[in-house]
Amino acid sequence: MDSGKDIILKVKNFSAGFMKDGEVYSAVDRISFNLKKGETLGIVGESGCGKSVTALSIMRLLPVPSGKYMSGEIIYNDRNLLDLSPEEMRLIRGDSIAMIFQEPMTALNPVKKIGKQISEVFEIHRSSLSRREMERETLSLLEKVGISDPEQRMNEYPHQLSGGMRQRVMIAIALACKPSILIADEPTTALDVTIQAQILDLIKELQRESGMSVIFITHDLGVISQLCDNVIVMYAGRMAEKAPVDELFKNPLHPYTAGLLDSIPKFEYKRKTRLKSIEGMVPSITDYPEGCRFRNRCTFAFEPCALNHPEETEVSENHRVNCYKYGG
Amino acid sequence: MIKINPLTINKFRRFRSIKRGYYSCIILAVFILISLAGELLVNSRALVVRYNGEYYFPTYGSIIPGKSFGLDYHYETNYRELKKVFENSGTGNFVILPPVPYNPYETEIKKDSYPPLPPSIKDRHYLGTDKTGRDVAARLLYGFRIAIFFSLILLVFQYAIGVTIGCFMGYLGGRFDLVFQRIIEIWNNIPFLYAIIIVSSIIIPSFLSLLGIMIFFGWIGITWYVRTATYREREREYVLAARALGASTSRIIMIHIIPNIISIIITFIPFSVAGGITALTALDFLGFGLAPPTPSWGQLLSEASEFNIKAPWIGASVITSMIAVLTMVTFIGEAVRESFDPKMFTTYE
Repeated sequence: MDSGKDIILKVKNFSAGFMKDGEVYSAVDRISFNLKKGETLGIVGESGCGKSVTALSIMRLLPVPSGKYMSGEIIYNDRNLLDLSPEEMRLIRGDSIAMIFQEPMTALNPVKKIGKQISEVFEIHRSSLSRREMERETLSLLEKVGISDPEQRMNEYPHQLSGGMRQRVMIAIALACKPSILIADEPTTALDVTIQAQILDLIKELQRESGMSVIFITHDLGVISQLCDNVIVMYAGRMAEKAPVDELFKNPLHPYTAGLLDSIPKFEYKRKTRLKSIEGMVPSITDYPEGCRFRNRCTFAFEPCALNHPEETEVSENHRVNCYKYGG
Repeated sequence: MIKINPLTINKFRRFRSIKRGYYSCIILAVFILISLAGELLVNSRALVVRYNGEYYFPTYGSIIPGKSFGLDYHYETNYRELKKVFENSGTGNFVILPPVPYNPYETEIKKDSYPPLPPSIKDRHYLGTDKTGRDVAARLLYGFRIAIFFSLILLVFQYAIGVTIGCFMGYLGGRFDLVFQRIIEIWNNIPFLYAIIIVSSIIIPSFLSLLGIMIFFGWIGITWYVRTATYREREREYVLAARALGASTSRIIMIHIIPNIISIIITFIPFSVAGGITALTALDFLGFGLAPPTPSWGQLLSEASEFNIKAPWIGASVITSMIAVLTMVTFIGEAVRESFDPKMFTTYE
């Protein structure tokens, strides 16, 4: 299934990290995945597990000079994004790969009107359009993302809009050039649950319309189950498990995934049942344990776990796991 | 119609509510307008001449020789003489002179006295004359015009360079920042006035070359502030979002960062204007500024110190005007700063 024409983005053995006091600490370690056309891929994990670094790396937006792309390839349209010149990369960003950020409050420029900020994308990537056309496109975008009264909203400043509205504007900006890949980095974390549902519906609907692929980054398993086709579970910079969403929820293989799913409250629970949790803490990036990084919190840990990090094993079709329990 | 940002309207309203600054702003604007129309108010050329049924408007345009008005010379008409001639002849010809009928370059020597001459309403030397017999009011007005426009042009160029470099330092950081920091530190340690004095003792400065020298040595002032502000802004998420759109570095700086730090820049502008005027005056006072006979306050000041008791009118007029202009500029600066101060919007008890 991993071959064929419909794969749009291929991440192969990719590692990235940060320089600190002359040493490089890897935040993402040898992850590989393929994104198919029209697919929604969820990346889920705790804070600091490398999911945002993965997203920023695809855009090549790691902060310089501390951020380092260490090894591997990110292949889009037969070109390795990591080898492109900054100028070539600039033309891809916002045009064929777009991104939505977590904080709609701060990701909009506070002193520029909404309309101006949307039409800026056209100024960068579609400079042949006339001003009139840009304005028309901006209006239709605002309508498409469900903003009422777009003509008036265009002339307003970010502080005059609510959080949900702002996130809609961010989505409009990201979709302006009809990208083939949309990276959504926790787009609903800063919003309340009602607005969150609306935004998720909106993304789903827009995806159906345009057929783009979405990489959806979140720590919320509920959101994943609603939205995604396939899921990658990450832990401490490494891939733990990769599976179609139903399979993952029905049959979690990796002890970490199982632990995560166990810690969600269920309807059958009696009142005042103590919620299950995974014992211990996520190790800090500077002192990951040798071998499997989950081993000090894992209930199944046995000898091989201390030696090496387990390699990816295909347990059933499309379901892959990095754990010695299943062979490694 | 242009829609103005409600925040800008708010700032403008607050600026208006600070009476000192608001009225200073109006008065200074009126002064600048008056100085722009200086030729109509203070000039040796007449406003209107009627001669044998024809009207002449000699204020702007080329000179009209004395022959045209029936006088016996080919050089430019002396309109004050012409007025006397017409009045004596009584033929219906007349001359209307500006309120102060002298230009800043002409020297008037009287037979029975030596300049400087004290103020006299009869001679229309309302502020007297300087040591070569030039009208003080005329020199004051044209000197103001030169000083204020010198200062404004200086400001534009210094800020254009300083803000651009400061922004790039703050945004790019790293080696670019380091190199320019060192350059600026070296530049800062060159005593500004001495450097200009040395340069202008080698070349005799014109308006443009003096401007060039002062821009060359003066752009560093704003750089530090802009650098720091940019440093803070570039960490904000909208900059990352703009990069995710594919915006280039220069676009991010020009379109995203500068509008966000503009209030810092605006706050400094009035003080830089005052600084420009004082610097030019100081150089002129020392004789290293604009070459004489260009009308200038500094040159008037140096005459004032030469004739301090004998001709107090020179010192009195130039010092009064200088204090007035600099105070007004400072008031404007204060009001601008206060109207941009966000603390006024939110207070905690």
